[in-house]
Amino acid sequence: MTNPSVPLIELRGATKKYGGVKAIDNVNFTVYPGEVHALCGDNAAGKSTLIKCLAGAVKRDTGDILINGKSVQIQSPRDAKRHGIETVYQDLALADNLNVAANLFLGREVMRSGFARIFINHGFMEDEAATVLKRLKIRLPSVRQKVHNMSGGQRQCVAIARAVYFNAQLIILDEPTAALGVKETEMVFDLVREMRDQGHTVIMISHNLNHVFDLCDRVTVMKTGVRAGTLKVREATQDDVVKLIMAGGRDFDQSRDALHSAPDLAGCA
Amino acid sequence: MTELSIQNGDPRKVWARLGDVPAALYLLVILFVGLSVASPYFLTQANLINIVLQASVVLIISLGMTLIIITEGIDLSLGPVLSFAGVVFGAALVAGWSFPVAMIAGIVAAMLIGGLNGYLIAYHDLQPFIVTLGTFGLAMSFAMSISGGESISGLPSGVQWFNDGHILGLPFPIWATAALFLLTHILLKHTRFGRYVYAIGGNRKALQLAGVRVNLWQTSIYVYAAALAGFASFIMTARTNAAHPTVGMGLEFDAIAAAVLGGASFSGGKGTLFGAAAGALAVATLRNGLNLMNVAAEWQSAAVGVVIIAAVAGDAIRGRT
Ligand SMILES: Nc1ncnc2c1ncn2[C@@H]1O[C@H](COP(=O)(O)OP(=O)(O)OP(=O)(O)O)[C@@H](O)[C@H]1O
Ligand SMILES: [Mg+2]
Repeated sequence: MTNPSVPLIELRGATKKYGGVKAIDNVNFTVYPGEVHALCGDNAAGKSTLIKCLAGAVKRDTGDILINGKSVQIQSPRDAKRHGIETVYQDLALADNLNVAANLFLGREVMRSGFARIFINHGFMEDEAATVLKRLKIRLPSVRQKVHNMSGGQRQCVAIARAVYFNAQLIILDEPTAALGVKETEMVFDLVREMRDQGHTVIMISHNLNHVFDLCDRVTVMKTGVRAGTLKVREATQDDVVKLIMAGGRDFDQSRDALHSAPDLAGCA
Repeated sequence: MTELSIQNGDPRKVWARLGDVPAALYLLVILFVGLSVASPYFLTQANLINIVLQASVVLIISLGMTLIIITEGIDLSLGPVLSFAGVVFGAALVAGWSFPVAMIAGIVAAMLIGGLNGYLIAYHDLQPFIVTLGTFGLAMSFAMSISGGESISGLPSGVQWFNDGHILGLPFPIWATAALFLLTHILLKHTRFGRYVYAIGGNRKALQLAGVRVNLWQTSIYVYAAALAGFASFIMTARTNAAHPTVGMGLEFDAIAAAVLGGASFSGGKGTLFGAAAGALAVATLRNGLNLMNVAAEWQSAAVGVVIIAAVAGDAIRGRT
C-alpha cells in the first residue's frame, strides 16, 4: 500500500520559537516507509521539538506536514494519532498509578458492547496487552502490575508497546534508552530491532552512535535548531556523524538521490 | 500485584501492604472494640443505624471529594454548595414546584458551581484551593440571598416521608447513600470517567498526550462532586424538614478528613471510595462514642482533629511511596 519511494512523512520548513529562542528553525525532515531513522545532535539541538511537531505535542509556528505525499493538519496529539503517528516521549508519559494494560490503552479504552458500552472492558484490554507484550517479546510479571513498581526498562517497553499496539504508521522514540542501564538498554534495542523486522517505520532520537549504526538506516543530525544533514548510515562513518554534530552542516539530504533507487530502504521494509 | 507482594516474604513489603490499609479501617476497628466494651448501648441496632445516618451526608460528599483529591485537587466549596442546593430545593418546593423538578433544580444549582470550579481549574489552570475558596463564598451568598438568611420550612410532607421511611429495617437515607456509593464506585472502577480520574492524578500530561480531552473530563469531575453534594442536601433537608442556608457549614472539612483517613493523598493519584466511606463512618463513630462517653460537644471537633493529624502522621511515618 505504501510506495517506498514516496516519503511516509515529510516536514517542510518547520519553525518553533520559545520566546526568543528558535528551538527549530526552518527544518526539513523526511522519513521513508519501513526505515529506522535516527535523530542525533547535542543537547538543546531541537530534536525533541522536531518530533513533538510531528506528534502534535507542540504547535509549530510555521511548516507543513505531508503524509504519503498529502498535506495533513497536525495540531494536537489527537490529530497525530489519527494519522497513525505514535510517540514515546522522553519522559515516557505513563500514568504511574495505573497498571500496564490501563497505560497501554490510555485514551483508547476498549468498552463493552451493547447496553454495557459505557463500561470499560478490562478483560479484553488485559488479554490484548498480554498478547502485544508477547509479540514484542517483552516479559513483565503481569499486565495488572502498576507501572509505578516497574524498572526503567520495563516502563520503556510498556511505552513502546503502546505505540506498537495501535498499528502506527510511524513510531517515534525520544531517547528510549537515556535513563537505562546496559541490560535494560539491550532489552529496548532488541525491541526496536523487533519492530524494524516487523516492518514498522521508526524515528529514534539517540546519543549513542553505536546503536544508531547498529540499528538505523538513515540519520539526521540537528545542530542548534537547524538540520545539519541527513546521511545514509551505510554510506557514512561514525566520524562523519560526529563532525556534523560538532560542526554542523549545510542542511543536505542524502535521501534525495535515494528517491529512485533506495536499495537500503527496500531492504528493511 | 497483590500476589507479587505477598509471595515476597520481605517484612518491609508486608509493612508496606499494611500501609495500604487506610487509617480509617484501623480507627473503625479500634473504636468498635473500645466502645462496645465501654458502653452497652453502642452495639445496639438503633445506635449503629444512627451512626450510619449521621455519617451519610459526609459520606456522600466524601465520595466526590475523594475523586477530586485523586486528581490532585481539593474542593472547599462542597459544604456551601450543599447549602445552596438545599435552599434551591426548599424554595422550589415552597413555590409549588413538583418534587422531582425541585430536586433537579437543586442539583443543577450545585452542578453550576461545580462547573465553574472545574472550568477555572481545568481550562485556566488555576489552583483548586483558591478557586474553590472563591466559589465557597459565592455559593454561601447564593444560599443566603435565596433564603433571605432564614430557614425555609413548611415543606410538603413528602420530605418528612423520605426521612422516616424504611425498607428492610433501614431508613431511606441509608439506602440512598448506599446507592450513591455504588454508583460512584462503578463510575470510578468501570468507566472512562473513573480511569481518567486516576490518570489525571497520576500524570495529567500523559493523558493529554494520549489525545484525551483532559480539561473536559477534569471539569466533569468537579461537576459530579457538586451533584453528589446536591443529593446529600436532600438527605440533610429531610433530616430537619427544613432548608437552612448554613447547614453545609464545615461539611467539606469532614469530607476531606474522611477522604484522607481513607487513604487519599494530596499528592494525587491515590484514594479509594471504600476508604472514604470507612473514613466518614469512623468520624461519625468517634463523635457517637464521645457522646456516649458524655464528652462535651465543644471537644468533639478537637478529637476529630487529633485523629486526622495522627492518621496523616502515621501515613508519613509509613513512608509514602
Ligand atoms: N517548553 C519549552 N519552553 C521553553 N524552551 C524550550 C521548551 N522546550 C524546548 N525549549 C528550548 O528549545 C531548545 C531545543 O530543545 P529540545 O528539547 O528540542 O532539544 P533536544 O535536542 O531534545 O535536547 P536534549 O538532547 O537535551 O533532549 C532548547 O534551547 C530548549 O531550551
Ligand atoms: Mg530531547
